[in-house]
Amino acid sequence: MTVTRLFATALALSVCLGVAGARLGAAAQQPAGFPTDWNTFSADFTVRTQQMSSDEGARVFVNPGTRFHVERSLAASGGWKTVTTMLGVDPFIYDDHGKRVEADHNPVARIEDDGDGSPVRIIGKNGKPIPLFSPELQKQWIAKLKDFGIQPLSQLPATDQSLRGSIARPSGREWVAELVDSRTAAERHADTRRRFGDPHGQERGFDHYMSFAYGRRTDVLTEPATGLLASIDTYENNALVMHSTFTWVQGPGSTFIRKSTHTERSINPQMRVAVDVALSNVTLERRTR
Amino acid sequence: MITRIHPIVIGALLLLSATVAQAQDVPTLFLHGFNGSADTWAAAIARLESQLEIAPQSTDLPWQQRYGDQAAVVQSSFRTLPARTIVIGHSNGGVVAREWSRIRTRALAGIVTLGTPHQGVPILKNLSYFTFYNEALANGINGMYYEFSSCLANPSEYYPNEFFCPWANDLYYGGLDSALDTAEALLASSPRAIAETLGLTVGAPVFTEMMPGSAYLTGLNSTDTLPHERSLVGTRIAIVSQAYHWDRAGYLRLWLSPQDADAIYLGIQATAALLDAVSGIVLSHADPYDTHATGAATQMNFIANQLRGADGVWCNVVTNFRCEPNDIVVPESSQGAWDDGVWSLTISAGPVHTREAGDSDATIIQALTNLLNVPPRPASDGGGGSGGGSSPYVGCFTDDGNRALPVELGTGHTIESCIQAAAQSGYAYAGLQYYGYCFAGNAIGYAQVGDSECNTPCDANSSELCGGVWRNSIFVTGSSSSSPPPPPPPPDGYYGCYSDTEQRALPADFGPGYTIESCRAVVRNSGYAFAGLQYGGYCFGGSSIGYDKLSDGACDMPCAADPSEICGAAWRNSIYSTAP
Repeated sequence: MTVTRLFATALALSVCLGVAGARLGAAAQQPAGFPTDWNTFSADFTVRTQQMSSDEGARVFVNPGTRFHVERSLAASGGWKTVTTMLGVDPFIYDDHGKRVEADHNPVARIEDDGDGSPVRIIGKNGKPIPLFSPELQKQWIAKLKDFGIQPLSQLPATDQSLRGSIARPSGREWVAELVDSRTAAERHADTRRRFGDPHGQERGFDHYMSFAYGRRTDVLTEPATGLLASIDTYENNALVMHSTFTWVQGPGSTFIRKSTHTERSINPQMRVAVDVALSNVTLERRTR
Repeated sequence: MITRIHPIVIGALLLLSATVAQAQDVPTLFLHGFNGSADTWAAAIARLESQLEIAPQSTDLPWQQRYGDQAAVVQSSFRTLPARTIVIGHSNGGVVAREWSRIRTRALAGIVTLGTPHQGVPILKNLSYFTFYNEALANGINGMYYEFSSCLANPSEYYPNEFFCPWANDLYYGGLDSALDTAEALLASSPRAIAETLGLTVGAPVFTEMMPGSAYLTGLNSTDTLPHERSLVGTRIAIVSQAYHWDRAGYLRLWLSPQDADAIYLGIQATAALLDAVSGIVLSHADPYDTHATGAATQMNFIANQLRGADGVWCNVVTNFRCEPNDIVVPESSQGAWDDGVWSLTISAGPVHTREAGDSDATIIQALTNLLNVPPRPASDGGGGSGGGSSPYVGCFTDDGNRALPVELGTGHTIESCIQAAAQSGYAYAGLQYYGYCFAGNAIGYAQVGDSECNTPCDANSSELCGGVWRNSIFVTGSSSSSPPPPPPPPDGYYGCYSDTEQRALPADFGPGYTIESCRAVVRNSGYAFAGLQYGGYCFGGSSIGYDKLSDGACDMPCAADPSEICGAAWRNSIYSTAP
């Protein structure tokens, strides 16, 4: 079975819509039903990952679920501080012989990012910081990589430290619009047309948009009544390399809250990865500090 | 003294070694493994020679050649060694030792193999599986790097949404760059790196013979061959080495940092958690039309999954998909006893395969003294030419409430004062624990662990380390009165009835419910010379008989597991030899 056929099958099974309602304008950035001066976003996430052999569809590694609680709060510096608390890692993954491999050795309790460009902090279950690796070990590894003629990626020009801080850090609340969509259907349709032009027609009951840019072809399906995004397919060299589907639930007021994202991506001709992210308990609130 | 023998100068050097080594020293030939040389054993030989009455020999083997050719080199160099010679072979050197015994006309006192793949090396036929895993990881890393570098180099061009790229910018320099290096280091554990570390040169003639199930190994272990080996080799011992946390980070420890199992493991798990968390946030927060963000996030998740699965992959590669204990290269089942009557000693929490020759002193000493009756070298003896400068330090060992070294000599000791106190009490070993508690005994006791676990400074001298929490820093006392060679076992293996106290004469406690034979077997497998049965079936093991001999009638309790046998009495041991 080809990668394309597998992805197409997945799309047919995973499109899940059927919600409707009035929306607020995106520019307002204040989803109805939530405090207008909210300064804290929180949600629970479950991330599930499967790796599959593209030719036979066999599962290679399966991580049934990693659960997080994410809290993003507006810091005094104007940036968004993100604290990710590990709620649990399902205890098993499976190797490609179907054997369960114990994996619940997760030592991490939470991950803290101050949102000011300083290094993230990884805190262990014992309350102590966990260094990814000691500088000595890192230095040793990088030297060894060079011994084998491998240039450490972190030292390549496109990502070296000289670029650090070269991109402005957002301080507004606009990012929440991707999770809590307050726009009207007309505003969503207009936004999609701005990105992709007029629809090419309908496909399986959805509005179908297409674009070509930077060597990638993007196919988009949106739900006609609400304008909500249903799926995106990305092609490179005429081969489907990524396929994503989205589901939404009605939130407070007239908002729609993103419920889940399913993404499949080709890793190489023999393997692809599927990642499911499910959100729950999404809240926007004003907290006093 | 280390005597390195090369074929060309064999005659002269043999003569030299004979003049230096003392007459009673046991000729002991050390054979290295794959990708090694005589130097592989050099440091260990220096230490062992200072503690045991051995006359060491070693040589460079043509390790890529067939086992028969390697054994021929040994035969050419060492054919004149006497029948009381012991051969110790690490890894393939153990197979060479056995092959040599097939072509040698004289007997050998013993063969000790260490981490030897008697049943072959599964990694040889499974490296392609690791290659497949490795290539997928490479694709994932390259994909993630591509998305990040696109964003960082051309943020305005690619990203209509203001979330991913700035956040990626912060995150990348805030930890993800390290994560990428981590994944890349894993990637660099490529078959090529592994092969270079192990010396797996393509086309080496010995390759086909090392394969599990090869015609050579089948013949070596066949019923046609083994009787001859049994008849010529007095005592055969397989030291089975399980690396410390053998199921963790093997691929990286093997070629990069053997001593850092925990740090690597923790770092990898933390990296996977970070990648998972960032992936989840990006997939939910980023503009869904931003396919670079989505692509980067899925690649992150893929890499996290690969990192979490890497230990399982390596374990399967090494053990032929059984994932049993191993030394990061050779599975336990391949290292183990290959024939009836072969003694098996297990090193748990030991070094990785490539460090075994240098880091297994305690178990080798145990094998030589307890099973091959090699006497310890008295302290006044200059170590057979080692100059007397060798450290008496044996290593760091575990302990528990049933003390490995049963005699407590108080606290507040330095290394020197503890060794002196233990020596004066006539014990072979001194152990320092937890800032300066001093223990003494005639057996080392439990499992050897990394020296880093003996990390508490001595209160009496903070420049010295005095063990750790339930960890003994063990030293040889050099007491000439200690560890006398065990008396020859009586024909029926029964030494008699001996007294015992709370400071156990035989310090290893195997629990209740034993018969005489089951106790002898379990103690034998732990490498002790003496098994003691007490109070109806409590089984103990040790390297010396211990306290006073009593009349046989003082041991009068039937074994609970077999009332037809006698299993000591209260504070009385029925003591048996563990010899098969």
